[in-house]
Amino acid sequence: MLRYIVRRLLHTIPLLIGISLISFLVIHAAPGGPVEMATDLNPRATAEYRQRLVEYYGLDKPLHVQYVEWLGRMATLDFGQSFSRDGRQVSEKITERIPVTLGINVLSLGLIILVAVPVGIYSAVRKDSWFDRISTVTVFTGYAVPAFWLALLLMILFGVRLGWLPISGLVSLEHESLPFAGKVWDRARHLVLPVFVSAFTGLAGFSRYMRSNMLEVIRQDYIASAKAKGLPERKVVFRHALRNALLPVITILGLSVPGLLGGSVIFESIFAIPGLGQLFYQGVMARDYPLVMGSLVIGAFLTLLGNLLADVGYALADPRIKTE
Amino acid sequence: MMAGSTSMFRDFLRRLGKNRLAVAGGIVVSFLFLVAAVPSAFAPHDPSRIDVRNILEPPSADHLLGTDELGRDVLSRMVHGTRISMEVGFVAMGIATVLGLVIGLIAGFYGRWVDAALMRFVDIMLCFPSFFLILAVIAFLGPSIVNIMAIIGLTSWMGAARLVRAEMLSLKERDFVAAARAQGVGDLRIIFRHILPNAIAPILVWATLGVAGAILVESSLSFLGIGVQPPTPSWGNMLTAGKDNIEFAWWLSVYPGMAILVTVLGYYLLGEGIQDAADPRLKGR
Amino acid sequence: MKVSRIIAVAVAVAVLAGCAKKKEDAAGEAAPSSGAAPAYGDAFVEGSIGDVSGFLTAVTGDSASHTAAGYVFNGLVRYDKNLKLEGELAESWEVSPDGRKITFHLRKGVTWHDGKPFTSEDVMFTYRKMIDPNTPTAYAEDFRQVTHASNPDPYTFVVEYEKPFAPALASWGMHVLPKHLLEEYPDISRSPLNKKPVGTGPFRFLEWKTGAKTVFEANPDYFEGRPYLSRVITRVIPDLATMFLELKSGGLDMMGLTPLQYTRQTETEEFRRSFNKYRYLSFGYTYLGFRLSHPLFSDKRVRQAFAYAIHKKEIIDGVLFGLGQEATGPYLPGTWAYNPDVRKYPYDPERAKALLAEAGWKDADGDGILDKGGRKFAFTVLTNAGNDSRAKTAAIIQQSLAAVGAKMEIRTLEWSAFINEFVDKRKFDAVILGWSISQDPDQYDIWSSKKTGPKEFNFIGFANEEVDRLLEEGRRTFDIEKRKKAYFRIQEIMAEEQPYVFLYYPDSLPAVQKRIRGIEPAPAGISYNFIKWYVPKGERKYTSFQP
Repeated sequence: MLRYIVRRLLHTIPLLIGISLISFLVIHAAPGGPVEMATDLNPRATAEYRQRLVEYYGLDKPLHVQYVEWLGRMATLDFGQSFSRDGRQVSEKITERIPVTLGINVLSLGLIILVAVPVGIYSAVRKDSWFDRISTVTVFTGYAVPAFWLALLLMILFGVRLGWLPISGLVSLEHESLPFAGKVWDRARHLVLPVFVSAFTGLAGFSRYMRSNMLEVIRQDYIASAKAKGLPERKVVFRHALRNALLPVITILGLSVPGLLGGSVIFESIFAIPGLGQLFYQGVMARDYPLVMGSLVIGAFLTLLGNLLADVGYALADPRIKTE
Repeated sequence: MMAGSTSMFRDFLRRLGKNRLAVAGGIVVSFLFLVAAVPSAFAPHDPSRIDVRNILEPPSADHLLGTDELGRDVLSRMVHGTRISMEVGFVAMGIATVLGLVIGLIAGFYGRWVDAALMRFVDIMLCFPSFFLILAVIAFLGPSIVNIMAIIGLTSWMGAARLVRAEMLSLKERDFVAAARAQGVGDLRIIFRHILPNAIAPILVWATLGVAGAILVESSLSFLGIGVQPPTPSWGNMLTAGKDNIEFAWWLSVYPGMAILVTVLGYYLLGEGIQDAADPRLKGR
Repeated sequence: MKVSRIIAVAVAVAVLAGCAKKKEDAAGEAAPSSGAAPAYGDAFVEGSIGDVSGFLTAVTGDSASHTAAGYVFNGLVRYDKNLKLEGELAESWEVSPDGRKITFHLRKGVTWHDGKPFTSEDVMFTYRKMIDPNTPTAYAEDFRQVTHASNPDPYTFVVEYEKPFAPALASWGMHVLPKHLLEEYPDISRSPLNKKPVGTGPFRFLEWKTGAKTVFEANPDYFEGRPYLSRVITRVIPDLATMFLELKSGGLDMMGLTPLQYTRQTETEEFRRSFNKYRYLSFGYTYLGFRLSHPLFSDKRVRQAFAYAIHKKEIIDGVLFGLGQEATGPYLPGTWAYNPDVRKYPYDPERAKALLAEAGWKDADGDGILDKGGRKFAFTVLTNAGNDSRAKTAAIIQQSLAAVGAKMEIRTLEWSAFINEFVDKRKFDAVILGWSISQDPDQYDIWSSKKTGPKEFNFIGFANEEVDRLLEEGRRTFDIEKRKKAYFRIQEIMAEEQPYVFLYYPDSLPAVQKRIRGIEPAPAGISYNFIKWYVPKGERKYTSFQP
C-alpha cells in the first residue's frame, strides 16, 4: 500500500509543474499589470511611483525569468506577497480562507451524499417509475437553476418574509457575547441556506451517477443468479449491489472538488461569506497576480489531494485493485 | 455495415421515443432552435427600443412579459437572447468537441508516450476548478462573446478527449481494424469510418450536457459582471439585471430564470435519454 | 463596480463629509427632529461592497479603506456642513499676505488612542512620510510643492511654498500619523498600524476580520466629545441585492439606495415605518468624453451637435429616475465655483443635424447613417463593465444618436484592461466615465495641456491656452473672488468647446434606520456630523455593547 501511495505521489509531480505552468500563462495572458489597478485614474499618482511598483514586484524581468523564480518559490509554498495594499503573504491569505470554503463544501457534499445515494439507488431499482421520473426532474432542476437566483429567492422567503434564517454572513454581530451553545446554533443558522443551495445545485451529478452505477451493477450476472436463487430483493440490493455501486462514489468525491471550488465564487459573493472563492474573485478583479496564481495552484492541488485520497480509499475498499 | 447502422439508428430512435422525459427535452430543444433561427417571428417588439416612460412595467397586453429597466420588452429580449445563449453554448461546445476529438484521437491512436503525455495534460486541466480559469481569463481579456465562447470551449474538452481515447484504445486492437489495415486502408479512413461512429453516441450526450453547462456558465459570468455585456440581451445578463429588483420587478427575474431552467433541463433530459437509448445493453426492466 | 476617479487629496475628508446638496431638505422623508434626548450607546451597522485594504489613507486608494480610516484619524482641516474649510486638528491658521506661507496653530490637549499627546512633531512626521520615496502613496504631489516645513513649537506648524498654491489648504486634510508608532518603519504600508490603526479620531479601532467586518468603538477622550454611538460596524457584503435584503431585514442600519430602490421599492408602509430616506447631490458627474484628436471629434461643431442630440432629461429619467441633475460643466451646482450662466444645450435633434451638416456630414446614400467623403459616421464608445448606470446611459445615448444619423457601438471592458489598453494608450474614440468632484475647485490635472502624457488624466487631449492660463491663475491665489473669476471663465469655455458632453450629477440616496437620530441634511450631505448621531435610550437595538 505504501508503495502505491508513493508511486501516486510521484505521479503528481509532473502534474504540479504543469499546473504551475498553466497558472502562470493564464496570468500573463492579461494585458495591463497590477500596478495599473493600484494607481490608475488617481490623479495624484505619479509616473515614478508606478515605476517603483514595477521594480518592486519584479514585473520588468522577462517572462521566463519570472516563471522560474516563481516556480522556485512555489516549491517552498511561498507564493510571494499579495499585490494588494496589505501586502500580506499569499499563502497566508489563502490558508486563512480555505477552512471556510472547505467547511461549507464538505457539509454540502455530506448532504449531497446523504440524499443522492438513496435517491439514486431507489431510482435505479425502480427504473422508469414515478419516483424515478420525479426525482430525475427535481435533481436536474437543481442543476439547471442559476444558483444566485435560487439563493436570492430563498433569502427573501426565509430571511425577509419569514425571518427564520439570517440572510448573509457566517455569524451574527453579537456572536461573541453568546454562550457556547448559542454560538454553535448561530453558526448553524447561518450555514443552512448556503449549504442547502450548494447541495441542491450539486445533487444532480451524484444521484445520476449513483443511479447509472446501480443500474450497471443490477444487470450483472451475479445479481441475476442471486435472484434466481430466490433471495429477497432487498437483500440482493443491499448486500451485493450496494457495495459495488458505492465504490465509484469515492472516486467521484475527489473529482467534485474543482466543481465545488468553482461554484464557491458565486455562493460566497451572494451570501457574503469570506472564503477562497471570494478572495479569488477579488484577486482577479484587482489583478493581484500572486494571489490568483496561488489560488489556482492551491485549488488544483486540493483536487489532486482529493483524487489521491479517493484513489487510496478505493484501493483500500476494493481488494481487487492491485496495489503493487 | 451501412445497412446495419440504419437499423441501429432506427432502434435508437424507437428507444428514445419511448422515453417520455427525453421526448419532452427534445421538444424543448427543437423549439429553442426554432426561436433562435427566426427570432423576429416570435418577438413582438424591437428588443433594443428604449422607452423611459415605461420602465419596469409589469406584464400587460402590450408587453406580455413586462418591460425591463430601460423600458424594453422582456419577451422580445428573451427571444433574441435565445440566439445568443444557443450560440454561446454551441460554439463553445463545438470548440470543445473538436479539441477533445483531436486530442483523444491522437492519444488513443499513437499510444505509449504520446498517450501518456496527453493524458497527463488532461489530468492537469481537470485539476483546475474550471470556473476559476474561466473567470480569470475573461476578466483579463475582456467579456466579449468571442472570448466567452472560446474560454468555455478551451476548458471543457477534457471529457470528450477521454471518451474518444477510450473508444480508440478499445477498438484499435480489434480484428476488423487489423483487417482493414492489412487491406491497406489509410489510418484516417479507419478512424473516420470505423472508430468515430462508435464514439458518436457518448460524445453527443456529453456535448448536449455541455451546451446546457455553457449556458449556466454564461449566467454565472453575468452575475459577476463579466458575461455577455448589455445592451446585447442574454438570459444571464437579464437575470442579473433583475436580481437587484427581484422582489419588485419579479418578471425580470422569473422569466429569464425559467428560460434557463427549462432549457438546461431540456438539454439534460434529452442527453440522458440519448445515453439510455444508445446503450444497447440496457434492455430495460 | 462603481468606479469614480479621485481628484483631490481631500478624498478622505470628502468621503466622510459626504456630498453637496443643492437645496435644503431631503425630498419628503426628512430627518425627524430629535424628539428623544441624546443618549450614549448602541451600535451602527453599515454595509460595504469591498473590504478595507488598509487603514492608512496615504497608502490606500479605495473608498472602503478611506471611509474606515475616517473613523480613526483626523486631518489638520476638514470641510464643514456648508463645505467651507474648518479646523480639525488645527484650531486656526493664517495664510501670509504673499500667499506662500501657511501657519497652522494646532489644538492642545489632543491625545492619540494610546494616550500619548498629539503635537506638531506628528504633523512634521506625516509631511516627511508623504514625500518619502519609500512610502507607496499616490497623494504625494501636493506635498511636494512645499519648499520648507517647520514646527517651531509643539503646537505650531508652518509650511512654505514656492508660489501661492490654493489647493494646499485642502491637502492638509490628509490624516495625521502618529510619529511615535511609525517612526521605525521605513515603509508605513508594512507597519502594523496599517492593520491596527491608532489615531486621534472619534472612534478607536477594535477589530478587523478580513473579508467580513471592521469594528470600531467610541473614543471617550475625543477632543470634540465622545460620539454617542458606542460602536460602528462595517459589514462586507459584496452583492447589492443581498445588501438590500439585509437592510430590509434589519441587518444593516444604513445603505446608499439605487434610484430604482429609492423610487419604487421603498415606498411601502413597511419601509417608511423603519427607515428615513435622504437625498442630496453627490460630488461627481458622468460624462461622454471625446478623443479630441479623432477625425470625427476634432470639429467643435460635431461635439456641440452631440450635446444637442443627447436627451439628457431622458437619461436622468431613465437611469436616475429623476434623481439627479443635468450637468453643464465640471463643477457642482451650489458650490461657490459653479457658474450657472454658461451656454446650455437643450434637446434639439434638428439643430444637431444642422450642425453636423455644417461640419460636412450628410446622409448621401440614404441608409440612415451620416457620411462624408465616403466615410461613415460610426464610432465605438467604451465604458467599464459592471457599472449599471453607465451601461444604461450608453444604451440611451446610442438610441438618441441613431436618431440623428450617428452610429454608435457600445463596448464594455473590464476596468483594468480599459484603462491600460485603451485609455492610457489613447486607443479610443469616445468614453463614458465619471469623475468625483473635489471640494477644492482646482482641476488642473484633468484640463491642463501639460497633463496629456500617458497615464495622465487629460487623456482626451484637451489643450486650450486660455484655460491653461486660467488654471494657473486659479491655483496661485487664495483670494476667493479672483479664483471664482478664473473658474467661471473656464466653465464658459468648456461649455463652448464641449470637450466632454457633461451628462448628469447623480443624487446620493442614503436610507437610515429610523432609530438613528441627530441627522441634519446640509450641503455637505448627512455624514458630516456622524459623531452627533445617537439612538434614544429606549430604542437601542444592540444591547450587548456597553454604552
